[in-house]
Amino acid sequence: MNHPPDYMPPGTPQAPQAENIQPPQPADALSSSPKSAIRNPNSQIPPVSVVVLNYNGLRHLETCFTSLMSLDYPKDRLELMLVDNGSSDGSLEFMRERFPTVRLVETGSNLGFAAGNNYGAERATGEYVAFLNNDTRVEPNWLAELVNSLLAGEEQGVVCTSSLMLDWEGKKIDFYSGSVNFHGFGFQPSYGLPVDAVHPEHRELLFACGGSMLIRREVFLQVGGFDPDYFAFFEDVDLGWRLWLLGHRITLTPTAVTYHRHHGTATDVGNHRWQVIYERNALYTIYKNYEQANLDKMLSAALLLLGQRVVRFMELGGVQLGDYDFTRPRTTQKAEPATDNVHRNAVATLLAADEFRATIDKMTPKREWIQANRKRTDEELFARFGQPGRVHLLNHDADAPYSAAHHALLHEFGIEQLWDGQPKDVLLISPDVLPVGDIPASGSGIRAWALGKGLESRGHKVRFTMPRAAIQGRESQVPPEYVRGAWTPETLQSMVDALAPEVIVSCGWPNLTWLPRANLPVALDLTGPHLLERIYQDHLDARTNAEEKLAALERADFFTCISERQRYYFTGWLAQAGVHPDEIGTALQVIPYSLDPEQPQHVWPDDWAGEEVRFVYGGIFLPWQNPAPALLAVASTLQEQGRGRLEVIGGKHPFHAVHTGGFGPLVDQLGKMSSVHMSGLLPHDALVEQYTRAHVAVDVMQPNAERQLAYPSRTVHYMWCGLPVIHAAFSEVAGVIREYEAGWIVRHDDPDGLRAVVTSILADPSEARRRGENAARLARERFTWDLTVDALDRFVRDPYIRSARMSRTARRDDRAASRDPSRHVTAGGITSGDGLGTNMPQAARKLQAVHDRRRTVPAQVKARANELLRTVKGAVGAPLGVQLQLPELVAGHSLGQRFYVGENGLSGVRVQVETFGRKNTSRLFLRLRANPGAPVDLFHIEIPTHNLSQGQMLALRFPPIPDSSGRSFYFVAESPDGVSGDAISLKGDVRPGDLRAQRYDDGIPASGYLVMSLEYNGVTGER
Amino acid sequence: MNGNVSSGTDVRSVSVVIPTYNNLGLLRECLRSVRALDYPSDRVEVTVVDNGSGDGTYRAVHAPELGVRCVRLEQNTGFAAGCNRGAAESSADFVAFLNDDALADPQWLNRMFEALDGSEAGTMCVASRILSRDGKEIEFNGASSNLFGVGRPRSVWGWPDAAQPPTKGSPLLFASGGAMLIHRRTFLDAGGFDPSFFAYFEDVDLGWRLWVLGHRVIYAPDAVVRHIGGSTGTRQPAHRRYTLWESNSLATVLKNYESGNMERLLSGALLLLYKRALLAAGDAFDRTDYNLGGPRDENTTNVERLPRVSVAHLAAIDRFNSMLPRLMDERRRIQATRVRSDREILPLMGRLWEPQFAGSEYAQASRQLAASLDLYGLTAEGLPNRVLILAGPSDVEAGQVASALAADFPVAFVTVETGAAHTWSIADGYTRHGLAPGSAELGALLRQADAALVFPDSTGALPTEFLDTPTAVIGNAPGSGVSGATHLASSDLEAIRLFCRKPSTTRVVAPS
Repeated sequence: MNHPPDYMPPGTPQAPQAENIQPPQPADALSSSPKSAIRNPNSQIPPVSVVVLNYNGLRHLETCFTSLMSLDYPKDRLELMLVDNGSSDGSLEFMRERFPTVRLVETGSNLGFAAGNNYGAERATGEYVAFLNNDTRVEPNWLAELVNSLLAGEEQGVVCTSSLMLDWEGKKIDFYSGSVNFHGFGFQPSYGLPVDAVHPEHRELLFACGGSMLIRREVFLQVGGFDPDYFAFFEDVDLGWRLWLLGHRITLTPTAVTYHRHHGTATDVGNHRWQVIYERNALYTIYKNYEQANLDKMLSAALLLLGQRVVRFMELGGVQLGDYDFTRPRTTQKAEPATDNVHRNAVATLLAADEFRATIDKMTPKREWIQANRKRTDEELFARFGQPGRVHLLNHDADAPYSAAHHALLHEFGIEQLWDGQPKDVLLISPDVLPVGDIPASGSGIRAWALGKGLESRGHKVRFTMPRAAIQGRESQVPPEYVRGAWTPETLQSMVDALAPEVIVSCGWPNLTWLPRANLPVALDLTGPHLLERIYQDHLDARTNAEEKLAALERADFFTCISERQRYYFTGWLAQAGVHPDEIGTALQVIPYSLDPEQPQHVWPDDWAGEEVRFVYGGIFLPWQNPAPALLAVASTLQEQGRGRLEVIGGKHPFHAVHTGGFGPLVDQLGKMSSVHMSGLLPHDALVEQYTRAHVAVDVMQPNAERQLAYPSRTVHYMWCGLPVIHAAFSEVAGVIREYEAGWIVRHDDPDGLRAVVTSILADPSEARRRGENAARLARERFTWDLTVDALDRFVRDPYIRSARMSRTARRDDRAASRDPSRHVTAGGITSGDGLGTNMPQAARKLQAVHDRRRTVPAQVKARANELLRTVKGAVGAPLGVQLQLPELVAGHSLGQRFYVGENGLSGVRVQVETFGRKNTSRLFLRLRANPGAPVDLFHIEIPTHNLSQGQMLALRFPPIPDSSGRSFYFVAESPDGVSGDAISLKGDVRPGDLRAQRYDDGIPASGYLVMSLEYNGVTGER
Repeated sequence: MNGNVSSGTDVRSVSVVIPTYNNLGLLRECLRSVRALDYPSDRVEVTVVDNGSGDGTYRAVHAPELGVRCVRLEQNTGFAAGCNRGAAESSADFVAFLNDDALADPQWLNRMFEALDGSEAGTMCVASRILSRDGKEIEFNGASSNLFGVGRPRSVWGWPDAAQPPTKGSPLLFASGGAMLIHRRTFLDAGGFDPSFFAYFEDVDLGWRLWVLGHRVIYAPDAVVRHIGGSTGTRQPAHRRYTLWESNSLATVLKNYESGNMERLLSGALLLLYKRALLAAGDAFDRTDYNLGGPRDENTTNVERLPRVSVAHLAAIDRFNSMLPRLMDERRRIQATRVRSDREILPLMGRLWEPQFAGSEYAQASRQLAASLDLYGLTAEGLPNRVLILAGPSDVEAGQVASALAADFPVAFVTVETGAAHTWSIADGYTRHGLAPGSAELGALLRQADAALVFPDSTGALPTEFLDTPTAVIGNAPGSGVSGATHLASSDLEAIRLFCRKPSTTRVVAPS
């Protein structure tokens, strides 16, 4: 499939790998099947025509045709054709000279890709016709493999098969799979991945790559070939869609390999010109192919999304949507500009829609023919689309709002219901080692695994990725696909871009720190409160930590946590992160810690005589956990009784650098006791083996903030293995253990009670078995992933992007950008230095729009909040500053301040009013000037004072000044009709706060400062 | 208000609701006219909804002792929300909405109630006639809308289904939000004006919705209000108004059409919106820069400079998208309680194909789209295309065509004669008009027609509007290039009928 360069996802050398990845297969290995072995049941080798379309591609012809001349295919069955689309570069002369046996067909003019290939197919003589781009070379067995593949599939209705396309060097995937979304955009999943990242298998595709494919000529012509009205782009998508509709099938022949030199043709013309065709053709495709019942809905949704793309391209050019907001109060008398800059793709996309409109009549007869002859329903087709709901991302900053609009539209129009039940592509990002290899997995790795497996049990396609650092140095103990597919902070975003999953499931919030693009629906699993963990792990100070956490929470759309208590805990965090309190109930759901529905079989002794009762404690030693009093009590009881033993399986964290806290002394102490058996951390399988042979698990921790909120995975794991658990009463899981009689509940501060339990078990071990069987049942009913994943499954099925998160993410990005002048906002797909002509970061522009739309919190409310804050802070003895009483603003006087601006995009100055507790009637003018001596205002505003309240913030807002950074401005307030006793003033302060400023009275420098805050790009500058 | 007239309990109570924003001077005049209403003072309350004015409106007008209450809102919530607030705060039987820059005639309320009392059951809303201040211009004299929710304050008439201008009690698609009477409970139950519209077209949406929900809206042409002008909206630059117009008309389409019709009409509306965006850009960009084979590009940036009035169309798309979840909720609610079908409502719209952008290119694009997407197929039953026949007064053949078409289409048969007085009559199911060239009536009929048939012997210069109405030139009519006598065969009549069903571009029907 040809794409304009804009739409190529970035290739990533460290790109991730799919599941079920086989060891690397060099390209050679793919082409090692027997030469020319046509496996035709009739042992008839069918005649084939190879059509190479050419338009001024002289430079490609030597290589391309040399490879074709070496094809292992009987020469008398092979017709090589060059179809020339009116080249003027001497292509024909070259061919006559160099490859005289190749049949030359001249179209006379550039008919485009579609009509040119049709022209060749009509004139070809073969039973099959292969289409090959001129900027390629093929393996010698390319054609034989394609032909064999078609012959083998003919009985099942296969009429067309695609070659595997690699890049020129054979290192990366070009075309391996073709998918299409509901509004007609084709995609090449796996594009740019290393060859060894996919195991190319023979399989069905929605469409074959038009650049290298084989099709039964008769069928090709009968269905109308490539649609000549497309000229180029997406004609292969359309052909594939149509073939399926008409009852045919299409496959990939992975053993037929083509090497593709990139953009042999397409880069020569401006991208915006291609954009017209690209967008138009997608509309053509859906108009022709959808059944009547779906067409109107799909077309209207597609057209709305087209409009959204135009909007984003306009923003990329510099449009600020806030300028178009009627509800925005006008603050300046300055005439607004009559024009705006837009990216040319905006115009191109509009032209595409208009071309579609003007040419619908050309498509209608084609539509009618297809619909009259269709053999399959749309529903059957959706199952072939690959990713019908996929967002057409360009991987630049405008993606996030576009993606949000896309998901909202799918939801509101009920479009996703059309392929309801179809699995989604999910990328699951684990924060820790997954339980897949021979190295120990942590609780959070098992949690991640369980969520992914739960989704798989509901039919979704889940790719797992874990941190490379977690398996560093132990790669040999992990299946290779997980090693190749591991993430690092540096590669996570590009991995997501390349894989383009439909939904991301992030386990733990820190992962999201590495996904700045934030353009896909994200489910965030919040495991554990991580109150103490972050502190013990030597992360940032608590405040920075909290800020980071909030920023990460703002990037997610749906949240899961592990228990009811944690739901309450995280409710507070989500509220802080801007999730509306009304939404938290649905946005945050509990999914208990879960394990495989295939439980291990616990081994119980038939006879306890001679059987030592085995107590067990297992897991990573973590400094915020203190099982010492309980373990010592158990061990000493066993010692006193001279029966039973305690097995302690554990050690320091395998990945995170966490010290073991009090475990060191505990281990020393336990090690001296004869009833205790110690062993180090075990791989998951070995640990399970141990648990299924033990008899009683002990999980009684001393409480702390972390433990009281925790839902101990360790205990769930014990029960899953059929172990009854002695557990602490303060813990949330205690309730369900009681309910099922799945163990014993003791108080953490009651060692005697614990001893009594241990003694009773020793006296009657059969009770352990009874409770152990209850525990296994409890685990099955409450803690297995096929049953617990409901809430997450619902989100994945109908994903969305919270609209509120766009604004907040943008604000943070913008702040980061405005603080760091070295950070340039780059737009993927939009070449840098393209003269967008704006200094304003994209994020700021987005935010401007959002902010403008949401400017609904009255200034008074904010001012009141500020005032309350002041009061509160004052009350606890932390005054923000000492107030400076400034004179009343009466006629002929002014209060001013010259201030320095450190950022670009200054868009407002806010000061605080002092009413002296009176109602005032004077008018107040706020002015911004270049300096105190400047005779004219840059901007000004007139404010009637009679409605002002004490402490209210007054804003002088204006269009952002793009180059404000590094300049000084002068702000001045005047009240020309203010008379003493009926005038207001502004708040002053003896300290400058964040400001670098000089205050002025009546134009003369004065001491103290005006209380002032600045706004940038329409954003309040309060931090 | 008439304090001397004692009210019976049968006199319905009314709350006059006046939303206002920074318009104190005119508001005072408006309130004076309201105080002078000839209506029992104890049955009228006046509610001014101050949408966050900064000009002291509240202090100036709030006078409960005089029967004027001012509800003060923190900020400008828009016309629609202001009206809703006023209605919600009242307890009267009816609400009368009045613009803050309008003067009510003393009999305003009485006339509206008279019309209401004389109307069919289910009538819940009455529209007033709105005149300019000097009374010379009529600002609201009926209501119509194109297929895409762009309302106009005029009705369509001159056709067999509406031969006369609207009169007292005539059904209207909507009443102007600037001066209307509505049953308060009905208004609130229907959801009031849609606050997300902020301003513009909320009255079209409300009227349309009332009909969908089974209510009726009628006209009281003798209930008069004079509009002083200087409304709030014109203080905003055009591109901001465009953004509201465009997004609100899309919203009206989205909410009110039946499922099935809505989706196709939305597609049509969007394609035409994009066309308007391009037309509004004028020659700001060079079209050939976007052709694959076009000449080399002189613009080496990736940027075009577009007029804001063009960009506004897309800003409207963004606004519409952000309204979408709310609108769809509304849509589900409306459709679940629908009483009347689209087919019953289309006749009230009157001018389905009225172009909302000047010029032939747009008019033709919209006709072409109507044919290509078969939007005509959606409207044929509810409101068949209006066919205008231009012919000589004694053209027998044209008369036969008119009779034949009249079964399927509203047909107006026009003969143009210089100096002719305007005459009309109804015959054979169509209206016959004798009109002078260049007369306003002729212009109106031509604009309203969906298809024009020009016969030989039709005389007189055709107005320029003619160019934008899809026209079939019959036989040797002027412009057909066919000479000689004509006799239409039945196959010709079929061709004409087909043209009338799907009129897109001008064509010639040569007798076979």
